[in-house]
Amino acid sequence: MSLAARRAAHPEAPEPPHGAGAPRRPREAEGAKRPPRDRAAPATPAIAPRRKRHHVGFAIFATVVVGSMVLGIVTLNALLAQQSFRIDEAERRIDALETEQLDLVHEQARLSAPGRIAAWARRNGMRLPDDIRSLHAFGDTRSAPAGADTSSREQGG
Amino acid sequence: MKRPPVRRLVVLFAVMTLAFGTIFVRLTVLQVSQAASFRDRALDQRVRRVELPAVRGQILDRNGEALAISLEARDVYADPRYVRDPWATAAELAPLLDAETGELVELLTRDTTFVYLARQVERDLAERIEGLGLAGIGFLETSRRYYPAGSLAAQVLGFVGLDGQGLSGLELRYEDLLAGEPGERTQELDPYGQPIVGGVDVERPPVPGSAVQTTIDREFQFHAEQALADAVQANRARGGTVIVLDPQTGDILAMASYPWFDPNAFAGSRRGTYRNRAVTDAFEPGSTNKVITAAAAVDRRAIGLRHELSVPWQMEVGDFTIHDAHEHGIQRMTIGDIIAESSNIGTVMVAQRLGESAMDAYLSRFGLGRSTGVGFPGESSGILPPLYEWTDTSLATIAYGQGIAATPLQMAAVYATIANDGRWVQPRLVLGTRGPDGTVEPAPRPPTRRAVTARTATTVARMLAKAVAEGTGTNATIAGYQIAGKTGTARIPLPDRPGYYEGQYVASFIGFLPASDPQVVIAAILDRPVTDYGGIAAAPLFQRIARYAITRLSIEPGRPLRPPPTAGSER
Repeated sequence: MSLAARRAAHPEAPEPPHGAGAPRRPREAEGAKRPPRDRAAPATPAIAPRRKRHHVGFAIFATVVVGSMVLGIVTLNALLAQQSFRIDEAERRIDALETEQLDLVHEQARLSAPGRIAAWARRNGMRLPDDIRSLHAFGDTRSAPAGADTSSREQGG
Repeated sequence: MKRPPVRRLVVLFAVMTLAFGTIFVRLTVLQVSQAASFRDRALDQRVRRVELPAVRGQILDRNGEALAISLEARDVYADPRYVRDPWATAAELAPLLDAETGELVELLTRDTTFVYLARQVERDLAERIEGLGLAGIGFLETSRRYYPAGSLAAQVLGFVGLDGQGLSGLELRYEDLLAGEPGERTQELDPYGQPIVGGVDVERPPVPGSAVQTTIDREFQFHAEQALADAVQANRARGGTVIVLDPQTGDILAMASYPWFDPNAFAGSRRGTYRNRAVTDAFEPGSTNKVITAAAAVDRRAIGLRHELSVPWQMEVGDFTIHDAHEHGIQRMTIGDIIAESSNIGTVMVAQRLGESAMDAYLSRFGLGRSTGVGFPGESSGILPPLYEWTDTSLATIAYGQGIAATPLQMAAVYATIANDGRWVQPRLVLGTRGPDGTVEPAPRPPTRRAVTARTATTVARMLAKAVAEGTGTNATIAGYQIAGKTGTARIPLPDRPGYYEGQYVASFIGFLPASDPQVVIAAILDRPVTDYGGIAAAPLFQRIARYAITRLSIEPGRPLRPPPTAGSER
């Protein structure tokens, strides 16, 4: 029987309320007696499946919520742990690079020490640039070299 | 029915009350009044604090090349309680630590909980030892100071002790900046020395030291040292000093003292070699001091440039007879001739025209008698007797550089004043510092003051150029360049009584180039060379360093200065 038909058959029956609690307490007809307490009220065939469905829905909903929260926490934790591993790794790399940089500074300073270069040069038959000679331009030069006395040019040296 | 033993109960109650009262009082004492103390003691037992050493700042040359760096190192220690087999452990460690097995066994069997086996061991070696897994052997993080160029500028840089503290030179002077601030790690440990998870674990990271950038040019320093060592050897001198100075800025480009030492192994060196003679040792400057007499006379117009004096070869001053280096008849000399020929008698005659008060004032103006302010530990201020202590011979002897004492750096600064148009500039060794965050803080500009007028300085430079071209300093000439300088051959005072060593001299040559536009001042000083004279022993040393300076600093010849009037000249 459809709802419209039921309404037509029982015009005094109120419209069932909307909401979750509505199926639990169906409005009884006027003057109807409550069943005795010690006798379990037989579940109306329309209400029992709906309650079961609701429990299942709630369980699914709770599982999804709790599951997603747990998953979220685990994921967050994993991300943080991963991040901390990355930081740890980066710190280790910084330490290693600092050590390497110090080693390179040490090596560079040692290898570029003038005494070492001079000794190497001597071993390979080179001379140190300690004995310079200044060359003077003579004759008809366009401009005198810096500091040269112009009279010396006229005298040829 | 039997009556209860009331008296016994009372006694029992009293005893129990007393016992509980005692316990209560004791607990109050332990947990209230002494609680803080016990808490601290408990914490001390659990908590270990380890100092984290800060990396010491580098010392750099003016071009940023490292002169002193710190390397990672480890201290190797032992806790003899945990060493299972001292002989086996010692036998394994001895070849690695370069120590005797017996010595190590003695250390490993001591009745103590901590003993150093080796300090500042290289990191790689420490890792090898760690790899042996020896029980009772531990390592502490530390650093080792390393001077990559060995003995280069050793006395300037100084050295650092085993605990990382600067003990001499710039290492000592800039200890606060270089050392940084050590950090600390606080950990809560269990009875087995393992960190307690979740316990106290706090680390305060160390702050590295700042780098100090010196004015020293590493290449120039090396060349100056080589030239000095060769000159000392060639002249069989006891030692020597070289200073290379930028007269405009006061920057010390090189400062060498021979003999030197290796700061990497300073403990095995002779202590006397630690001294930076250029700054700590005062000597009687001899004829190099005549430049002050000449500058004072010209500045005060005590004598005209063309004024000729009749100069004998010796002269009575007070109870003494002073004389020139070589016997000669009475000569007509201008002040230019006197400086060029380095006549003692002529200088005394000029000083007498100047007077004691003026002479003393100009000595002070040129910075004698007080430290230069270069900021080097142990700097000597030299000896300049106060005017009221001058005797009847003081003016005469001081005029030609005896009876006073100055450090090589003070004398270099005197010549730098002439080279810098009469303005004295405080020499400096540090260009600035670079903090751990990379911020550079340049050193403040060195203070300057006018000693003589620019005109006076140029006139004196002309005299000094003549001294090199025609006078006692011809061994310092360089073809194409006009050098200004002065020789000095000074007697050495006896350390314990008045008088001088016989036949022993300090030979010196101090000058600058080019004479008209000075770019560099060089002081070359040799201690007791067998060749005696500054013009023979020190001038060639100056020449060699000056030649290098021309290439290193790209010095152009400059326009030559006109020579000062000579006696008998028409001008």
